[in-house]
Amino acid sequence: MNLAALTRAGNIVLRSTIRVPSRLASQINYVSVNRDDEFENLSWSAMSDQAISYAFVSELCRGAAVSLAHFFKEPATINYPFEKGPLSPRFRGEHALRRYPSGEERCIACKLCEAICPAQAITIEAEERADGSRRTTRYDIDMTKCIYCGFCQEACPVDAIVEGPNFEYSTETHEELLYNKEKLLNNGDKWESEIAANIHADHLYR
Amino acid sequence: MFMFIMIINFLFLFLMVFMSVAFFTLLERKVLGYIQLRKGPNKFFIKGVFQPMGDGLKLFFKEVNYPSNMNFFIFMISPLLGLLVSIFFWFIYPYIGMNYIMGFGLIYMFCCSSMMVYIFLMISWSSNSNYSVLGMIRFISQMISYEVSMMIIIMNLMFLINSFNLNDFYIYQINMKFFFFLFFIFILLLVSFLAEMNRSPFDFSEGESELVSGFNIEFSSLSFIFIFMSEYMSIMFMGMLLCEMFFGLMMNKFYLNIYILMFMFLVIWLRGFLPRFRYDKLMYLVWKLILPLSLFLFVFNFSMKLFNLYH
Repeated sequence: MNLAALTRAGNIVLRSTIRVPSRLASQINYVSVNRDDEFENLSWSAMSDQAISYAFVSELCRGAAVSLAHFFKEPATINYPFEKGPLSPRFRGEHALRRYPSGEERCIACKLCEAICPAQAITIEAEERADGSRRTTRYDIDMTKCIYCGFCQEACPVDAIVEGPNFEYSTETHEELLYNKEKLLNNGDKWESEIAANIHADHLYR
Repeated sequence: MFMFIMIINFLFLFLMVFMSVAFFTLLERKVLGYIQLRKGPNKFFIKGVFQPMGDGLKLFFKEVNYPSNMNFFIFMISPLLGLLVSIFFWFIYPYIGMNYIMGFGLIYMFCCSSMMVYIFLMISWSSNSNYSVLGMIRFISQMISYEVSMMIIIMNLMFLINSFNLNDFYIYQINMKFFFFLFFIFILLLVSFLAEMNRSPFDFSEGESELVSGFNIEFSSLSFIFIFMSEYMSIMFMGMLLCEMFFGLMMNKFYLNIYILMFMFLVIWLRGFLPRFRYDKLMYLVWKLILPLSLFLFVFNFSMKLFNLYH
């Protein structure tokens, strides 16, 4: 039995007996929004539990115990330049253009990646090569425009453009981040083993 | 000769206090780091041991900020005065040879802690900034409120030991420590000290969500170091006081340092898990709970003393 409950009950009694002008009815007819159930209709055992936990600051003690336990746990810190966290095979990092094992570049200049790129970061120009195959003469990616969505990788029918596992390619100038075909092919040569392993690990789910 | 030993004693003590302030900041960063599952500073020099020196050097070479229309003289002198008052606290701690024992040490401590209020007033008022004045209002009202209850609680203890001398706590606690049969007073005093030291959960002068940094916002470079050091020195002093009062240790023995270290860990640990209080709750806590309780204890102890019931 508490006061708030009593007043609510009294309100109902009052409303049933006294006629209230309709203009005021909306003001009197209220709903208690923050009704605190834990302080109403409390049984004696629940009440004593609450009193004990309040008196012995049990929540505070629990917090202290948890923080002390964390103090003795091993920290989650990774000593970054020397240790690195695990990367998913699907990680989308720096772009690379891959080659076939024969050394022939995979890209056939279909321009699907250029078409799908939502940031329009890719620019491709294509020409017929001396042996009659269709190849790119220019393949530029503006890495500062790129949003690393991975659509180019999804769109590519020959797995030529991929996003590799490298994420440490910060530069001091903007110009260095405007990648051309040569840079991308070099990336592909440099990261080929990792990229191939990632594609192999993920090929069942594609 | 006595004078000479005394001067050497206190010079050595102040040097040690300054050193321990430096490493207290490192301890705080490390402990808070490990509580949050990360390592603290662990790179600088030898596994980060000399990090505080690096921090100090960095702060020293920072640009000095001169706010417009500030009170230049007070602005420059007040952090130094704060440091000076924090050093004065330590005069009641005889370090090496127990050769200088202040008979009215606790009264002297009250004087110093009241003096601190004026220093903080000078610090914030002279910098002519709204934020520092806001921080100052909150901090000083909190400090004055808690000082009242702190003094009354310590007066209880002074009644018990029949002396104003901090060293007499040792004599009265050889067989039984106050910590065990005055545990309640220990908690009350700990709370008052936390508020007095402006530490979490009562660190209202540094509420970074509503104030930018509190009363010391306009200070940089060496002035900031002084304010910072005076705060940490008073934390260590309060720790020393609490350990001495409730564990009755010999003042010049090494194990007092271990108790102080434990207190420092406790203070940092409290910072690790307690959220900041609400300001009105803080004021209610002191005026409605701690002050009545301490007054009750005061009257109780006083009457017991009056009728010689403790002897």
